[in-house]
Amino acid sequence: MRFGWKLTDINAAGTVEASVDAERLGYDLVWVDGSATVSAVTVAASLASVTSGLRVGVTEAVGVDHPIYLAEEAAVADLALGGRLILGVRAAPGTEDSMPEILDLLSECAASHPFRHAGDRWNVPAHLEQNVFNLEDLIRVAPAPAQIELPMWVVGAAGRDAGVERGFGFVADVAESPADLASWWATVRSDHPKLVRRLRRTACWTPPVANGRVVLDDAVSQLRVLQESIGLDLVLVTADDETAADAERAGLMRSDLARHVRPLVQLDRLPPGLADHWAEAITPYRYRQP
Amino acid sequence: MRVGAGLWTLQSTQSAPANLAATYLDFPRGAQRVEALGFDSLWMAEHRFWYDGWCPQPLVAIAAAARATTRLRFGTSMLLVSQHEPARFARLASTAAAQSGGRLDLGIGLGHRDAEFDGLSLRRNQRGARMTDALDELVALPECPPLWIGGMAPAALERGAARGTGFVLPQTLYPNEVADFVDKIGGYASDAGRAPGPIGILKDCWVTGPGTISADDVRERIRRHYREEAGAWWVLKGDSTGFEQPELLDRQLQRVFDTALIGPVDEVIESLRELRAASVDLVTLRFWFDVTAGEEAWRSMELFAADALTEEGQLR
Repeated sequence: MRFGWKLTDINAAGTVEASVDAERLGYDLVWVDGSATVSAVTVAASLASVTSGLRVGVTEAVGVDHPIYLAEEAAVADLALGGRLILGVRAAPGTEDSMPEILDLLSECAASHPFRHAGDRWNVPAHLEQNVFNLEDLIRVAPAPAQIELPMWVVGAAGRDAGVERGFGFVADVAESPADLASWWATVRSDHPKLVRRLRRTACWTPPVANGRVVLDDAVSQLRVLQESIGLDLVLVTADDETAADAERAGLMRSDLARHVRPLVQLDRLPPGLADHWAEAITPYRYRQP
Repeated sequence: MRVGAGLWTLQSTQSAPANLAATYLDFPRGAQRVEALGFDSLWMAEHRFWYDGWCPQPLVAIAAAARATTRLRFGTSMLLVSQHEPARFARLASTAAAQSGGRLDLGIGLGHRDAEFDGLSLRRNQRGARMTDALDELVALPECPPLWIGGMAPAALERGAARGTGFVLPQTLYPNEVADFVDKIGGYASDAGRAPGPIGILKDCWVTGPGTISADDVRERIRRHYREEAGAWWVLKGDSTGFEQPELLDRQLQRVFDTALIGPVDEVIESLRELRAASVDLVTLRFWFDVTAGEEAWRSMELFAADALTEEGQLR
């Protein structure tokens, strides 16, 4: 299972510090949520020269602006990052019904061929009567992303089914119940038994904390539940507000998860004695294998 | 007078093929080199939907390069603001300005290719109004980066003067025309009841000398570059493109070569001093074309920087 760290302090210094620390600790990626005032894709690109192997995921709202803008921004950020971008898209409130069209358009844009799109909301190219000179019948969004297959995932429940049909992975929100996810995933598996193997499954998750430290047993069992319910590929650690507001506590949480939780959930089971061996180094911070 | 280096467009053209992934990875290292040479700033430009991958979102690339540098400013000359959604663009500009530690100069222009507007479901004939909307969004930002307007049409001058922006003049002006425009801009500012904003200009440039290519060679390369761009995109007469009217195209392009600063460093410095005397505050020297990108361009920039720049990136 891959581990990702959700960045919460999106000012320049905090973003860099947390990202560099996450990479040092062996995290696979960091994640940036966009907002009304922050372009997540631009923040992601800014991490290019301070990290080397870390992937950077973003959540950008879609449904208000033309999807081509996001496609261009993501391609440029992916190139700047040397192919390390993951594009997460979340339906802006009130635009949920547009998700199928948006996902179709983003898929066309990320390919490197000229295309035409006729949809409920957008025609590409539009062939508006005011535009007359040297028009195109098909357009090519350029440059293409660095990655041949840019990972594009649907964040949140809106558009998730449309995403599955189109081969998009998904990111479940913290608030979603593992039981509901499990039941939804069971349906998806039965409807698309072959396709599901190609779909990456991510869940945002807030680790259980006591006295400023991650509660190991609870953390592992919660992740095991997600592994069993949806075959979790990537956990996106989303610190609770109190931890997120304190850089030192957040650093401790990152380290606890990287050093003590991550090794325990990589395999289906551990040989007898290995968890105890690891725990010797961290007494009294001990994990009891169930 | 501040001296910037340009224009990074991150293309892979027929004349100069390049691996785009490598080009983007190299861009922050290029920015470090521009900074080390002592230039004030590095400038990008924008176009979209083109075969060579011309970077359509330069602010995203700037965010990556800014983190690799400490002092260098980054600018756009031009960013086609009328092709963006004003609120989305303001958010992008504000994030790029924050991520670069306030080292962003935002040059904005209208754009001219119908196909670029049409691909985004925008009407080209509304580009002026769209720029006004974008300007209003930008100036309302808590920390608006310095704005520069490209274009010499009365509407552009009026728009900028009313908001106190700077202006970037095109590279094809002759020295006497520069002075005229500086006066004209002063007039618009005074009509708007504001102090005139700073004046910038773009200049195609090449310093000849040991280790670089000759003036004739660089002229030929730049001719190829502009002939491709203008031939494919410009609408010259009626509704035909440049390549459909080659004689007219070449006549139009002659001005580009007449106004470029190409020669030994002393001559280039002399021309720049004339611009400074004409009250130009910022010049962006375009050494970096698809057809010149590489060690020869770096050598030419080194020759220039060694003799022409102060430690603060100003013209000596």
